[in-house]
Amino acid sequence: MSKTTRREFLKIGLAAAGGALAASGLEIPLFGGNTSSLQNQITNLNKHISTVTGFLTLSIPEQQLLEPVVETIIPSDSTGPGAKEAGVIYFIDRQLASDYGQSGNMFMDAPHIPPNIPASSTTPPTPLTVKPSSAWAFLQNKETGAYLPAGGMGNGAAIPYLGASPTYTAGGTNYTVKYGITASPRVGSGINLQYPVNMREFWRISLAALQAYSNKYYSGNFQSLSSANQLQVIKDLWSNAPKTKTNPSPPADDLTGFSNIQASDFAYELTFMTWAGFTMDPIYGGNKDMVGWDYTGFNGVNFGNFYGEGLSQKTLMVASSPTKLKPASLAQYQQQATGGT
Amino acid sequence: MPVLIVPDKSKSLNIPVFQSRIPKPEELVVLDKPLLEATLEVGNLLKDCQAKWAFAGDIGEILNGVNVRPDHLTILTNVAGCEEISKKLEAFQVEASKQVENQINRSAEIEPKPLPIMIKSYTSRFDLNGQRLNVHGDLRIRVGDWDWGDPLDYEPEYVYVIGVKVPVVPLELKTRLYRGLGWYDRVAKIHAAMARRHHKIV
Amino acid sequence: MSTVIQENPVDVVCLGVGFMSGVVATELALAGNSVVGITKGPYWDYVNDYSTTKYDEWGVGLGRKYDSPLPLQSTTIRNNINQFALPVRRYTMPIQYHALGHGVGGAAQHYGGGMGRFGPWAYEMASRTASAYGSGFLASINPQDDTHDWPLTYAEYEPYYVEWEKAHGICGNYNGSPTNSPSDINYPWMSRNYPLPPHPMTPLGQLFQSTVQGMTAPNGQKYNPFPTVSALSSQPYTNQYGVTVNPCVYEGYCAGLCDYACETGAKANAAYRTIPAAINSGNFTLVTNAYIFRLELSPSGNQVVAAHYYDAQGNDHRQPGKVFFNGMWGYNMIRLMLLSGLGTPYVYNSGAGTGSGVVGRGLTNGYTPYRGTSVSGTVNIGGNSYPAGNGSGGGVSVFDLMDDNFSHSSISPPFIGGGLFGAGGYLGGGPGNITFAGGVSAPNTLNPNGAMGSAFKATQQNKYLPTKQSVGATPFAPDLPTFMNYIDLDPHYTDAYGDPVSRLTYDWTPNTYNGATYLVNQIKAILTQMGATNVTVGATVAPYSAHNDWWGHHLRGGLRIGTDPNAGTATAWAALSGYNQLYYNSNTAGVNYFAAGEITNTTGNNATAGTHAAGPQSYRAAEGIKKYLANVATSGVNYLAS
Repeated sequence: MSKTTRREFLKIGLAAAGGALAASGLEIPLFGGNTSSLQNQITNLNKHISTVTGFLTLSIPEQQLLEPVVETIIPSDSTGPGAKEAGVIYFIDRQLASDYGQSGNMFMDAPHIPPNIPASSTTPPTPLTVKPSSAWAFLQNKETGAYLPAGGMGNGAAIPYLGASPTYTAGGTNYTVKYGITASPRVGSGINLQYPVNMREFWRISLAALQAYSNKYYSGNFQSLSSANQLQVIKDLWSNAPKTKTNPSPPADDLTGFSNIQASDFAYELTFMTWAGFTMDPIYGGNKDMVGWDYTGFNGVNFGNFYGEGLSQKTLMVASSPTKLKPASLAQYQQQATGGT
Repeated sequence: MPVLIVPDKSKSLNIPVFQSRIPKPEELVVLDKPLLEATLEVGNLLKDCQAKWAFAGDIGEILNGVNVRPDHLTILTNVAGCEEISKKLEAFQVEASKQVENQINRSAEIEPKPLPIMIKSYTSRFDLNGQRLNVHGDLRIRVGDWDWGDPLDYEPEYVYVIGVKVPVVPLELKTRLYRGLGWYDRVAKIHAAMARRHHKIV
Repeated sequence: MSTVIQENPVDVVCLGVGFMSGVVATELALAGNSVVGITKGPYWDYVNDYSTTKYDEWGVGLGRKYDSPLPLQSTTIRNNINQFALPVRRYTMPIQYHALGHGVGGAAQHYGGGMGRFGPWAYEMASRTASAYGSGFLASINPQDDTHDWPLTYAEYEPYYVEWEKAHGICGNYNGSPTNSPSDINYPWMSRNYPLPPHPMTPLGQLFQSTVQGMTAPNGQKYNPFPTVSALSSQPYTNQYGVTVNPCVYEGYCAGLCDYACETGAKANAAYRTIPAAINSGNFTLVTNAYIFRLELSPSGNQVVAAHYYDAQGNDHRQPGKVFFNGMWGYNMIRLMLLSGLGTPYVYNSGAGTGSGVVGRGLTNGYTPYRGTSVSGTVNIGGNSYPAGNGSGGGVSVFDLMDDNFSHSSISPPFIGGGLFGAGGYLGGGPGNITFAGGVSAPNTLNPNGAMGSAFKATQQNKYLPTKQSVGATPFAPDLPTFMNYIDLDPHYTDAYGDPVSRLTYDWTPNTYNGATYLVNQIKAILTQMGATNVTVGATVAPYSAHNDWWGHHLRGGLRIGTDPNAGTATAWAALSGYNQLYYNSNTAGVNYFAAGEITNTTGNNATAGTHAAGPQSYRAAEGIKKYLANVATSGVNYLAS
């Protein structure tokens, strides 16, 4: 820090020659970094990213299957790079090896009732019955034996669920509703996955089932099929076509194939994780060199001046035509924010 | 009425627990109520002020989120502004406007030995319900035996205090002043505030 | 035998430290009372915790790394009492079902910042509908109707709205009331304007504004557009507690599809508006990582004497106090009362189509049904859809189609209320790399291969750089309270400590769907006048045809206040009749938004206006608590007559 000279000091406070100095006009990252050392950082970072090729949890058969699967979902084509260039399979592998695979932030308690159970059509109807947990025991009034709230059946007996078809009238119109035994969540919703296995296991079972289905109905491993058939196999998953077990009534806990695991659940997971691997921050192992963001026009963490473009969020947000920014990653942002150390 | 029965913890707890860093009061930027009310009153009364004026000193900084603890209000303006403000706040004036020159209690820390700092301005003083307000017109600074600086000038920035828009001296000017006086602790406070706001002032 | 750790008694115990507890804790601490605030999460310091790690759609937006961990507690849902309620097993993508907040600030750490007052009609919905359309009208349009008026009118709440808005730095410019006077019973008139000016407007917002200013609304007057009300600070600000607030920096990781925490504190939140003043007062103690599981009642059962919570090691702490404010998020607030035996639990009688009791009753929703009648068009205004802007600014709204601003006498199918419409929110309010259902969809007519293959991939190319925008809405009229929608305790699933989780029995009511069929035509007229092309009204979605499966984020009600002790919690604890300790009220006004977006990205909602309407209640509660404590101190009387 150089000492201020008298002359410099006297200049402070001179009448500002036009031009307001508004602090709010400056919107750049937290702390400045030296540009050339930043360049070195970026180069080194890119080199590091390019050397990532190993797998943490996907087995060799799984790798060999998943690679063409993700490339079917996002192919490399004339419009630009696809799942292969983006390293999508590494994203999925890392996620399967960490919190996502462990279902770390999931609610995994029993009972595991499959969703979308239709109301029974037999006469008399066969209800689903599930015993209440012992958690209701404390709600029992010891003298009367009644449970609070009285509307429940927490007396230890199994609770029957039948679904219903009530009719409600609104505005003079009758509406007969068909409610199944459970709510009918869309695939991918938070109450759709009701499996007693964690996501790593879900993928292991489903990948194996997918390969078994490909062999049974398309005469070969998925990786050997034509592009058209590869696409068709995944579409079959969406429509729940695969039944990889010949037993028409597999036991409720049979999770060895697409019998009690909904193929459409896996189709959703595959598609979702592939697009995530293409578009999430490179710090997670996919979207290598930000090819996914380059394709979609996403900026990552470049707020208009990361590479010295001199643009501001305030103008970008009210623009009536788009301006493409070169994307920046979270790691790059952190490098710049902390001065390149 | 059910008796309070705590159920057995049947599950092993595997809940992520974050390290909490509850801030100490001195880490929080909070303006005391009496001073806040005085700021509001002054802001309202000076709404139609023609001359250029702005909150300065510590109050000017805390209104921009800097972690300081003002105990009085300061306004920086020019001589005409001083007169105009005296008219608008005459009910609270406790000292007539006059030229004042004095040494402030902190020295400049830019040379091995500390240099005294003198300021002179056309000053008026007010008292709003026990809160002091000093208005300085054409404030000039002198360090040690150097020449007097020119009157401080600036383009005000604006902040809102419960719906009243008030001008404040730009932090950029304060930063340059503090640098010039060697008060790097004050520079650091401003930088910390701007970092919290995601702005950079060199 | 487990030991119970005794904590020092205080005047006020705040359960949860979110928006509402923030107000109560600060008001009471600044008034000289001893206050404890208990939260199950941590204290979030936006500088240290967010500033370099929040730009992470996977971790924050989808993984919800700042939110309540599901293994700690979840909730279950069913549409109908004959169904088995399924638990929410994961935070799914991208709409975070049941994403409970965690820590100081609570759920306000992740919302888009949308706000907006309810209008006078909402507070007298039942009686005004009866006098305008007949006493049987509500029952005829809403099966098992349970709609009641609020116990206070808008005029009575108005000063509390002002305090709330000052405390949180709400930005806007009035609410479209033509006269802005208390005689205007159809609009949220204001005794004073919002404390901060609105955010910069987008070109689409300007087009919408100029268009509707020249159009006549169904009430026979010109539309009165006003800037979308936002809780994201537009300027440096200091509130009435002396807490300073940083302005929004518009870098766009705000709302969009996932909702982000704010790294400058510009997003209004107790942690950065009220709690700092409480801490600064020296009268407030914050207890974090503490999981409240019971309220202990006095032997006679009409007073709460202590709160029990588990610390991170699982020890039981007993926190006594004179007054308890339940500021926990919706389900947990109700759940805690049910677990503690506080108040009369609601019991539904499906045979009779009615119910009795209070706690858990009157659940409604403040959001569009996931499938409803919709309308859309295309305007030739492009923009930047990557993160730039924020989650609630940039746009313009009209209140002229809300509430009873037009006659509902001859509309078929019949409904009451209306919707809040707007356009022009920043395109880049939040990243949406994985568009819900649109980006990850099964094969359908639009995309025969679903979200796979070259054809679909091409639709994603440069999707953040649109040269035109799709503008539309799936409007909804108020979702009305009914006996069949409620909250109780689940008989099968428990939280990490073995207590039952909450169970939601809920489905949208016909009013929601039937209102849409009328409202889409009004929007169609506006879109046409704006010069949009391809203006299309979608197929009509009838009531009960699309069961609810997204319920978490904008549910309201379950513990309402009222003057009828059998319908509201006036007798939940007799001590506080007339004042409340409640988070939400059940009577909601339907609100809509339509904002610009590419393809199906119809963002924008005013669902967190529910928070804005609940805000005044927190000030009422603070006022009531002060009176109560004064009563106790002076006369030793531990109840409060209304």
